[in-house]
This record gives sequence, C-alpha cells and structure tokens, in this order.
Amino acid sequence: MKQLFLKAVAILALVVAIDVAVGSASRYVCTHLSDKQSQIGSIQQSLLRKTGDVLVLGASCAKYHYNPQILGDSLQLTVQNSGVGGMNMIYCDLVLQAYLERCRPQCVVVDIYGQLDPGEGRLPRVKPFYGISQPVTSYYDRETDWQQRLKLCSALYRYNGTFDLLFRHLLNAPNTTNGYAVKAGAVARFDTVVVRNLKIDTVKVCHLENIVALCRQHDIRLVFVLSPRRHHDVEQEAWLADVCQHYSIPLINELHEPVYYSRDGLFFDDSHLSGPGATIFSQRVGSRLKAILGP
Amino acid sequence: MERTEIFERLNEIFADVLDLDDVSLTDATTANDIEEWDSLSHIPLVVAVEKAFGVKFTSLEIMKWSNVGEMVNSILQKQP
Amino acid sequence: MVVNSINFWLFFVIVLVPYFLCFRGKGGQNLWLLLASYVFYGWADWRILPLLVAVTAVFYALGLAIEHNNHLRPRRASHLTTLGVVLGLGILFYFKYFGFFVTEMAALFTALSLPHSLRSLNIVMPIGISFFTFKLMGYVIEVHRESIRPTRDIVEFGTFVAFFPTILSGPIDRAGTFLPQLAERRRFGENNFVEGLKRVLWGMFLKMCIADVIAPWTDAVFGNYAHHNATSILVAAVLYLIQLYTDFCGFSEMAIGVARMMGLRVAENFNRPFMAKNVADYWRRWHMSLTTWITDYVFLTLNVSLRNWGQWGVYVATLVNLIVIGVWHGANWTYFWFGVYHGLLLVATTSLDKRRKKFEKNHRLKDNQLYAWSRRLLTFSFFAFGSVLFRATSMSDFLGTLARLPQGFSTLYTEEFSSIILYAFPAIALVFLREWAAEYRRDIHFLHAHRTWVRLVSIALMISYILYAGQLEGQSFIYFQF
Repeated sequence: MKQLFLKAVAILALVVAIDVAVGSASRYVCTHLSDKQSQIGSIQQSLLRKTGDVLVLGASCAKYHYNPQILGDSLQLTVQNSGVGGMNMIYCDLVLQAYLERCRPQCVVVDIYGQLDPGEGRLPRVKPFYGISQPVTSYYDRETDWQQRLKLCSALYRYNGTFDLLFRHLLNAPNTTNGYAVKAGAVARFDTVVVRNLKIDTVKVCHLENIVALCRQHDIRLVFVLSPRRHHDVEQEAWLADVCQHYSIPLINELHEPVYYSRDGLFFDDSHLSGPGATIFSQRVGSRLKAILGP
Repeated sequence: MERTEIFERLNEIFADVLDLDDVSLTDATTANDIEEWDSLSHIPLVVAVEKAFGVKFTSLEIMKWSNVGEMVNSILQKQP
Repeated sequence: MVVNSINFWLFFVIVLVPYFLCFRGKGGQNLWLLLASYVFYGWADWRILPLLVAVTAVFYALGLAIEHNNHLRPRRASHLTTLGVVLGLGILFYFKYFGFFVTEMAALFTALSLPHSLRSLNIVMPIGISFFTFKLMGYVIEVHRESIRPTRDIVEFGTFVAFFPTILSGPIDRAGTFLPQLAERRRFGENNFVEGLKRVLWGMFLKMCIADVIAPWTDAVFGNYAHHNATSILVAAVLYLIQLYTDFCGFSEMAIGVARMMGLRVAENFNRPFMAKNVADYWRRWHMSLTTWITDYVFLTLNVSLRNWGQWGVYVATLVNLIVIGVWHGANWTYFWFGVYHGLLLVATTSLDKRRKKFEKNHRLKDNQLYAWSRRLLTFSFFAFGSVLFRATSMSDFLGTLARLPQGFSTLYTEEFSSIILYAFPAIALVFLREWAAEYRRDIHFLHAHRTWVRLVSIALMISYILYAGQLEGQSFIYFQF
C-alpha cells in the first residue's frame, strides 16, 4: 500500500514536471508568434498586440469580407480586422476588452449574423491565452464551472491542441497582418433562400450587452453589419433590427442588396464572399460607415 | 463398447476431421485444448461421431456437453 | 455519464470507498453495487428504469422455474426458455425495430398502392437495451442447457444485469463467469486496482487520442461524400475502421478497468483484431462478447439442426449468424447488407480453408512474414470496405459514396487533417506497436514493463499525451446508439 502511494506520487510529480515544462515552452511560443495570419496568430494579435481606429469583430464573415485597406482609404482611419472563423459574440466581447487595455478605437463594427447562435464554436481556442490575456482569464474565472477551472490549472490542458495550430502557423500561414484574408475561388450566382430558424443563446446576449455598455462608456461608435449570404434567416434579421432599435445602434444591412446576387463569382460558397465580392462589400460598407461617423 | 474403445475411435475421428496427426482425448478434454476444434469444425465432428457409432443426438444434448467425457456418456447411453 | 468525465470519477469514488470499507459480506456489497447501478442507469435514462427492474424480476423467476423443470418436465423447461427468449427479443424488437418495421410496411403498401393507415412511429430507444437483453436471454439459455445453476439471490442477479460499467455498451457478460464472482466478498486488491487503472488509461488513450481526433474528419468526408474524391474516401474508410476500433475498444477497456478496480472481471471484447490473418480470425477477435454470444446461441443451434446438410448447413448457419450480428446494430438496411457482406466473405473463407492450408504447405509459407502481413493487409481492407457500409446512414448513401470512387484519385481533403497527422498518427503507431509486440513477443509492454521506472514514466507520458493531444471536449461513444 505504501509502495502504491509512493508510485502514485512519483507519477503525479512527473506529470506536473511535464506540465510545467510544456506549459512554459508553449506560453513562450504563443506570446512570441511571428506576424502571420494563422488562426492562433490572429487570436494572439487581437488579444495582445494590434491597435487601430476602427475595429472589425466577428467570425469568418468578418475575416473574409472586410478589407482594411479599402475601408481605411474611404474613412482615412486605420482599420484592424479581428474576425476569426468559428468564433462568436463571447470572443468579440473579449477582443474588445483586450483592445481597450491598449487603445481606444473610434468605431467598432460587428459582423453580427450568427454571432448569437448557441454552441461553443471555436471559443475554446482562446484557452492558450488564459493567464496571459486579462479578459480571457477573467472570462473563464467568472463564467465557467469549477470543473473547467480545475482543468485550467493544467498547462497541458490549456495548450491542448495548440501544437497543431502552431504547426499550421509556421507552415502555411499567409503574411498579411491586418486580419483580412481572401477566399480564393468562386461559385456561380445563386437564388437566395428564406429560412426561419431563430435560436438565441442568452449568454451571448449578455456579452452583446457588455459590448454595448463598453462602447457607451468609452464613447465609441458601435455599428452592426449583416453580410450577404444565401440563407436569409428572416426571424434573426427582424430580431436584430429590434435590438439595434432598442440600443439605437446603426445597422448596415447588406443581406438583400441585389448587387451581390446578380453576378457570377462574387461568392466563394453559400455564406462567404469571394475576393471580388469582398472588394465590393468593403467599398459599400466603407461609404456607409463614412456617412455614419460623419466628418 | 467399452469407454476405452470409444476413446480410441474418437481419437481417430478427431484426427481425421480436424486434419491432425495425433490426438489423445481424455474425459476432461475441451475445445479450448485443441486449436483446430472451433465452432466451425464442431459440427462436422458431431456428424462424424454420429455416423461412426450409429447414434443420433438431440440438439439439447449436443449443447449440454462441456467436455469429451460427457460426449462419451451420451454415446454409451444411446448404444444398444 | 461517460468514464472520461470528472462527474464519473466523483460518482465512482463515492461508490468505491464504502464498497470496500463499509460492508462485511457480499450481500451488502452487492446491494450497494445494485443501487449504484440503478442510479447510474437512471442518470442516463430514468424512464426505462422500471422496465429494467421488471425484466430483472421476470428473468430471475424464469431461471429458477427452468431449473426446477429441467429434469421433472423437460418440455415445460423448453417452453419456459422459449418464453424468455421471446420476451427478450420482443423488448428488443419493440424498442429497436418496430418503428423501422412500420415505416417499411407503410412504404411497401404505398408502393403496391394498397390502402393503409400506418404512420411512422417515434419510439425512443433506451440506451444499452441491446446489451442487457442479450445478457438476460443468455442466462435462461445457459440455465436450460445446464451449463449454469440459476442464482437464488435476486440482488446478485440484479447486479449482474445492471452492473454499471457494462450496462450502457457492454461487454456482454455471461452469467457463468460473472455470478460466481458476486457470490464472494470482494476485497481491495492492489494488483486489481492498478491493473484496472492501467486499462482505463489505455482506454482513454484509444478514445481521446485516436477515435475522437479522427472523428471530425471522417464525419466531414462521409457526411458530404458528394464533394469528395476517391483518395479522400479510401483514406476515410481506413481511418474510420481505426476510429471504430479505438472508440469501442476504448470504451470496453474503460469498462473492464473500472470493473477490475472493484475486484470484478468482465468479459474481454477485443483481441488485437488488426493482427487477424483472415476474416474468420478477425471476427473471433472483434467485439468478442457479442460474436461469441451469437455463435453460441444462434450459430451452434442452427448448425446442429442443419448438420445433415453437410457443408451447406455450415454455410447457411454462417450467413444467418453474420446477418444477426449485422442487424443487432440497428434497424437499417445497411446493417443487414453489412451482415450479408461479411457472411459471404466468411463462407468464402471457410470453403477455401483446405486449399489455403495445402497451398501454404506446398510453398512452405507457415513462417513467412511477408505472406502473413499481406494476409493481414487483405483482411484489413475487407473490413475497411465493410466499415463504409457500416458508417452509411442509408443504402443510397452507401451507393452514393461508392459512386465517387470511379471519379478518380486526386488530392486528399486536408482541412483539419494536420491534427490527425500530429496527434492520432503517433498514437496509432503506438497501438500497432503494442499489438504487434503482444502478437509475437509477449514481454515488451511499456505499461507492464519489468523495470519500475519504465512503467512510471510510460504512465506519466501517457497521461500527459492525453491532456496535451487528446480530444478533451468529449464526444459520445459510437456504440451507445446500438
């Protein structure tokens, strides 16, 4: 029995040693990533490094639709795109909080479609920044259960899956640094489809409200945008229109703009614009933003 | 027929059906002891035994055997 | 509540500590285990708990009645056994196949333009039902064949049926080996405890570092087969077979390990299937608790009754046997044809057996490694192909997937594939190494090495690997649906 106990302690000590070693190596790598646009690179830059006058938040639609160059030219401001595929409103809130630690943007643009859908999405990918980025740390400390917090004590758990992300960062990530990526390839034009599938995650609504509150507090102009796509969820659209009215947030609604649906080659797939599509989109959103922000 | 005689006949039958050179069965031998004796070769064995001794077993009897000894008991019971 | 969750281990500690410390006899231990099992099962699906208790009572009584009549009134004993089997199959049929049956009948009537008022039913299938009904049927058949004596202790019997590590997804235990263990008090044994933990660890490794890492990719390919080329589909077929093995073997290892920690040995389920040299050999090593069950009660029964048909009797029994194994997985034509496919393969294997042996003798191939490995590869390929059928949600899905093959080879679908290469491939290599070693030389085995420090370091590395590379946001087990 004593032997068994000693062996258990030895195993535990070994695991802790591996945990500390892997943890500190990973922590170093994750905070010293080169400026490349991989998933982990984008998350790291958004949470720890980037600044800009205009901040674009959202998931893959934000990443592929908003060209900071075009937007910046029309607004005469610096624009940073912080969209990361598979993320949701919680991530938007965390990124905004992280930004506010470094700088105060003039305007925050949220690509809102689907950001309030239930499900975790790729949010767990921010775990490597637990203990590094203050908003991420306090999110996990405040909003997750004791089991999650217990697991987060282990560095191996925090960096679970990051080896793969780092590998991809080193291997084939493009070098752009403003957060925008082009979806290469395109499909023929299609007819839009109306769906009714309103599912709202109340936790994410709380984070939306937090974004609204933060923008008010720091006197930042908040704008919501609906990107064009094949499936038009009319219930979600109406619900969002209500939200915008309630908080008096301007809504740039590109969902029904015929310009995207009348030509071949502007969409990459059902819900993402191609390179040419994104150019048109950025120009249109840029001019609308200019009108909203005023001189 | 005596028990020992039956065993001798059975050794021959097993060697023949299972394609083995030499088999020496005892009361306690089970399918686990002979590699070639599996669920597929079990039935040809039973058929060969029935033919050789001129007997017919019921299904339940066959299912109840747990070793060669019990099979021999059944054969002895059935013999005229 | 799955074994690889914090909740399970909290539950297990609460069960385990009093289990060893508070009870002086086996009665108390069994009652405690029974309560724990009902709580565990109720947690998964409380609505079906009354059914479980009721069938336990009925089969307990049947067991005693069959034994009582076995010699006094053999016909009545046979009838009672039939009743038990019909009851077990009836429950299984109602929950698992009735909805499918009604839908198919309705389709048939519609096709023949006959009037009918059949509607599709939506019967929720209780988790684990295919596993515990098989335990119960096996019990009455064994009592009737007099291979076991029925137990008089209903708590003992209830524990056997509802035993929590195995009730959700097997292994399907036999009363003959399990009940005698309940008849004695279990004491805490260091060896059992450590061995159990090692098997749990190995199970987690299989499940979390291989099966769950592969799953998203194979789902993406088979779920959208219309968009994938032959290369991706073939790679997915190979990976899916590995996924299926590691998922289910992982579950079985955890169940066996947890039971072992409590001093109980349950049936083994896998014996290195990828080392099998032909299809028959593979089936003897794959989901063994099910295949031996069906072999003992379906194949043997059929084979004995058809013994005068000669070879043909064996072929028919083999085919039926494999179809039963296929259909056991669920009400879907894919499982039926999966059974037919493997049945035919097995018939071919059996009928060519003599010729193969002759061929091997003539060419002195018995110890030829190249020959052995090509047989293994061929067997693996047969099963990988079968796993596409097994994975398909319908026959049209399966045929649609096959129709992609002639479209030609081209680049592999690589979205998210890097995690498979980085995390799953080293783990798969380790599994193959371990199984190869166990197949040839039984002594090199890192978790069971002779040197203490090798064991300790292996365990620590394995825990670290699971934490760092494993898929921790757990997915359900494939076999929970069966």
